[in-house]
Amino acid sequence: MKRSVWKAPLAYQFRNLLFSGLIVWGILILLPVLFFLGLSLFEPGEEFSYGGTETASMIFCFVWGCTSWRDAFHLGLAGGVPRRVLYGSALACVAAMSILFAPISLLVTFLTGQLPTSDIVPMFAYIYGGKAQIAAPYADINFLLQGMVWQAGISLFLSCAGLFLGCLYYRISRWLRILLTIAIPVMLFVGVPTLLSFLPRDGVQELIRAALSMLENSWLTAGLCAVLGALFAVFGWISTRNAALMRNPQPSASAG
Amino acid sequence: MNFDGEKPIYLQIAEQIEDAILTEAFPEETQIPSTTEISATYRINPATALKGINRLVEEGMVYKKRGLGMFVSRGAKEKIMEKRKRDFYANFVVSLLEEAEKLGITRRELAAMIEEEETGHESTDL
Amino acid sequence: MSQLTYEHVTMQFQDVTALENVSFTLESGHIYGLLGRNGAGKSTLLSLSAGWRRQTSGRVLLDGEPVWENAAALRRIVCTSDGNLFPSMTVEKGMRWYARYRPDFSMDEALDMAGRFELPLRSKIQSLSTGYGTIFKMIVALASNAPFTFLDEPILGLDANHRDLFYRLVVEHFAHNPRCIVISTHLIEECAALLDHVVVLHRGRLLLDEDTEQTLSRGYSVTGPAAAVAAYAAGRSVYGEQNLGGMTTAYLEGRPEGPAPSNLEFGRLDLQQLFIQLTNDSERRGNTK
Repeated sequence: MKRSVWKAPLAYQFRNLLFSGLIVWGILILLPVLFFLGLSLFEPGEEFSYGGTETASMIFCFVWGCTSWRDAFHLGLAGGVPRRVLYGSALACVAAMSILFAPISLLVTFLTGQLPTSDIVPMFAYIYGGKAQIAAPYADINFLLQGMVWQAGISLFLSCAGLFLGCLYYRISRWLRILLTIAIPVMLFVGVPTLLSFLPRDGVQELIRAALSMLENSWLTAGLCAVLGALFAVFGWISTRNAALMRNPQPSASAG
Repeated sequence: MNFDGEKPIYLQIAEQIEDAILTEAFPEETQIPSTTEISATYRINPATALKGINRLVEEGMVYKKRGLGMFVSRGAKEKIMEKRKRDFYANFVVSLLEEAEKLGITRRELAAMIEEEETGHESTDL
Repeated sequence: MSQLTYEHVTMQFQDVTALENVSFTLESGHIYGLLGRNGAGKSTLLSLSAGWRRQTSGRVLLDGEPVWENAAALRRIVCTSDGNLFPSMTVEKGMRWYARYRPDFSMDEALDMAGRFELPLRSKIQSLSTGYGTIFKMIVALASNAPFTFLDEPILGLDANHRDLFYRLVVEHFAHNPRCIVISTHLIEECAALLDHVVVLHRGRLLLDEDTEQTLSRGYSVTGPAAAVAAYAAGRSVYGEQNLGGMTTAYLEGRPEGPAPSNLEFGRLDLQQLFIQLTNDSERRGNTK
């Protein structure tokens, strides 16, 4: 009666994902419907535009990555499962989520776009499409595929970064956690621009131009994100492979 | 059951079962509780309970019926009675005399006490 | 016969040595007492056994194979933690989830034990009282039927009835499936009769690893007037002593050579007393084994 050691931790991850996924997608469908109902009641005939679905899906991937680790790690260690299996399960779940959420996101955008007074177009079409593609974003299968790969790439990057942070947060002390939480946004929005302002003007502009030109190609963007995601996945494993169980976990962190 | 610290627990278990045989709570040729039952009842290690029962087996008080369990041997009560009588001298009479000596009670006084105890019982019976 | 072996295990935290060169072996078919005062290193030893931590040096081996990150070994070892490792869910759901992780988990046994303790199945695990939290952890550990079962302070917060029931359950489960059960505790008196082997840790070092009977027959107690006891104990090896008024009880090593002198009384050692004397003793002598 040898059962695979992977079965339980994978089941735990995917069951949780199914549960939270149903809730988040329920909300993401409900929001435009509520917009529509509100508008048709109070401002009949008014059109509304809404472009939050893809962004919300990506942010969810990041948050999921951050928060899904602790409980799964604790239950898994109590259940006698090696770290590599637990981390592998978390990674498998995060990857499946990032890939699955792209078509779901497209489907929800399409469906909510069918509401009579709505003007909902995939974010991808706005960024990478021409006028024709914004007008009829669902006409070209290849274009849709390109959009899904792009979103999956970004989601993968964000969820792996989240998982890495989740693993890192588990290992560091409370004060370091607070410091890191403050430091990341400060670095991104203050540190990087400051750094850039110290660089020679021409160099900076060239650098930004080069970066932006890379992002102009959705395939390149997706590939770059996937590579960065893989890098974060490796960092996550490095911070987890020798992680000790933290006893007496604070109830606030494990609740909910 | 409270185990006193004076004797190893397995001996106390053996004596407990002997008491039960003596009072015919476990009559001859009937089954005694299993090691598991004894250890669970008294919250003791099963190995300790087994050691206690094995002692009774060695002395021929109980025997094993294959696949059924432990049974009280024929004549076990008689044997225990004899053993206890022998022990009675060593355990009670000797220490009684020692204690009496410490307290300065003479043999005659001691005999009178025993006599008194007996008549005392008779009077309550009447 | 399975064996869990600790070979020269040392666990060093930043500035604290929790375990220092600890070597001994646990075997299936025994109920062990892992005894030690608070901070003696019991919990650390449990952590290493369950693969929750990695020792600084030395090895922890299950039948010769290192336990660390070893799926086959880890599934044969179960350990309760002093913290709650379950996510927010009800008691029954927690049991059902845990059963998925543990290959030999018996839901029937778990529910039976829960019924006997009157553990509320629909309560959230997090909202259980200290006592019921301990009971929940102990139930899932015993129901896991793992060959090596470590119970960390299993009577913490339990009332007298529940403690009594706990001891009964340990014996029943042990008799039903003779595995290796390790009870880690600093409350010795009540569980002494359950243990057939004791391992004593003191300040991170192994102080004793012995058969309980053997340990108890290593010495005896002498009670009587202080002066008489002192005279008797002179020249003998003394674990320690207790005074009450003019009466003294001394705990001595070895066996008495003859009957007790008329003003003295011999007694057996009891585990709790021996433990207290041993751990005090080495405190005075400064950590000698």
